[in-house]
Amino acid sequence: MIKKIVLIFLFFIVSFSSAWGESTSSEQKNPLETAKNQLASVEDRIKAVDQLKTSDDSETISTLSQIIRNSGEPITLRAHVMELLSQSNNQWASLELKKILNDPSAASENRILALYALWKKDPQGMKMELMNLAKSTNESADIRVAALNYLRSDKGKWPPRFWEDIFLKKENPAPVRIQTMNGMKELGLITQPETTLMQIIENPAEQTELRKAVILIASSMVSPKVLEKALMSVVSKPENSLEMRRLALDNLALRPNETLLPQLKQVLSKENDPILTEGLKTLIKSIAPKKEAQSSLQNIP
Amino acid sequence: MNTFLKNEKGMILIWFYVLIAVLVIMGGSLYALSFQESMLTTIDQARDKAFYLAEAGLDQKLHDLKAGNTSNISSTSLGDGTYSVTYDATTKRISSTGTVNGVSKTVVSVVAKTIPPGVKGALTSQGDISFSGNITVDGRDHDSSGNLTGASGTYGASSGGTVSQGGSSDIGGNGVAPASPANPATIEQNQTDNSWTTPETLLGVASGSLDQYKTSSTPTFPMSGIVYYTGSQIIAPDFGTSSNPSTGILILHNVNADALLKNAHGTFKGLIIADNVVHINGSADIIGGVIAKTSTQTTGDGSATVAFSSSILTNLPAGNYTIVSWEDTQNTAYTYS
Repeated sequence: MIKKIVLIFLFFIVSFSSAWGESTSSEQKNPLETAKNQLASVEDRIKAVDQLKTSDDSETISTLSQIIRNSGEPITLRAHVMELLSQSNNQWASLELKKILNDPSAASENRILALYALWKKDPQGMKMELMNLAKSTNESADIRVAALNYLRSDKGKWPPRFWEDIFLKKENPAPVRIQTMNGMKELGLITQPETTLMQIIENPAEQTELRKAVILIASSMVSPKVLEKALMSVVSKPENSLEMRRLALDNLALRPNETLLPQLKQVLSKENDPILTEGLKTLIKSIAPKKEAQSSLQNIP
Repeated sequence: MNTFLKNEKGMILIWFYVLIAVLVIMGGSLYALSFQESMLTTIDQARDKAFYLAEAGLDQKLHDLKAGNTSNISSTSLGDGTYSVTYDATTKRISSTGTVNGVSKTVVSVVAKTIPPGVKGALTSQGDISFSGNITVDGRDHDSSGNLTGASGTYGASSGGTVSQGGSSDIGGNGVAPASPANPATIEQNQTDNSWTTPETLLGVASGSLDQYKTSSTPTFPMSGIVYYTGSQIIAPDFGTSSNPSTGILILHNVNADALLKNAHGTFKGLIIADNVVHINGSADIIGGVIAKTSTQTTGDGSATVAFSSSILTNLPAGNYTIVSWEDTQNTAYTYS
């Protein structure tokens, strides 16, 4: 009798332990479940996603696409999934990514992630789509900026005035025009920077953000004299916003030039803004010979 | 004899004495009981007060640590008692004892430094960020030597405005290797909580606690510890070599919030906070993090590297602490007063 009880007990122990072992190994064998499981650690889920690299069934791709779509998922996991999808040759991956990109209800951030993955998969194949996105006034500025950012790495041929039209169209949002300008600079498409860029810097009707970006980019594209002239024009004209005038002054201070002293003093004598006045005084002090600076500043209230 | 025993005169008196004796014994017992209760209540109250004093000492030490003060706190009077605190910098263990009327209570906790709350990426800025040249900004986690730890880390660049990536600059982070154009998951833009007014808020320490480090003299490099420069600019600082780098916290912040750090190069292991960061360039190798308010020109270019390091950022000379474990130890001996 005792022998029978012991045998039954041993049988149960062995059965339960093997069942336990089975569930553990099934978890290890089913990375899709781990990838989906929001209660699992990010590290485990990333490992599971790595195991799905070679999987080409639609369910896997759909699950990975859901992870990208869900803004509540950790960014580390979403970044990893996107890298994986961008390296996948699976046709389902491209389809899922296009679904996200073309879904107007999807968050802009998710559409940009999908756009990046699609561009990484096939830069040339995506060129037309990227150009259409960049030009489209119906698209958000974020998507257009991202499209332009990927296009700038293409050193190939461009349709005439593709970049210029986006850059010069004042209706386009400033971030779009700034990104276009950066792309044009990299592709060597700003042919007359001393005219194009200076006109934007000096024009108070232009978008302030764009003008600020042009000041930054111009320092490496035009001669210091030309830039100083444009900056001096911004500082001296009260119709420019205070923000622009201060930025122009800050940039003048980065390249102190003694020949600007008379103009600076003239601006200082008419200036009412306390911060600009202080900036002007500091700049005059730093570039004028000591005695001259002291005597000229004494006359200013 | 029998007559004597049968005589009941005086019995009432005897009963009366017995009654008095019983009453005295009962009264005495009640008095002893209430005295004991009263003493226990006093001790309990003292114990509670001592506990709260020990907690006050712990809070005081946490406050001191945030400002970089690791020394012990000698017996300090507060309310009805005192507290004293010891801190072991090696084990990061705080032991705080509160004492009231000879009753002591000790609270022991182990603390750890947290990554400064202002660090959102390898390079964080309130305003726009722009990169050109061959700069590499990597938000993946690095050890103090600049080697990858394998942890995903944080964003490469986090901006309250936009991040503009030009040239061959590479941005990585959140587990993704640096690339140009960067994986969008490595960049954070339009973050309203990137704005700041004082370096203290970025480090998570009490307002004004860094005032003791303020200096208007241009610092010499390599530096260590905390340097809080309040002048207008530091141009082309050479932070040092990889074998003799600058370490700690470098702050450039003045009343106009326009202190400029320009053309920084060399090796820095720690956190740089500046109002205006322009041209992190040349051979600059920053391991830890950089926080800027704005960049009036290109933020980083050249062949510079900015790499996020949690191990460096959790070992800065000042920063926020969090309690890792906490223990309310048994009462120590007490005496009746």
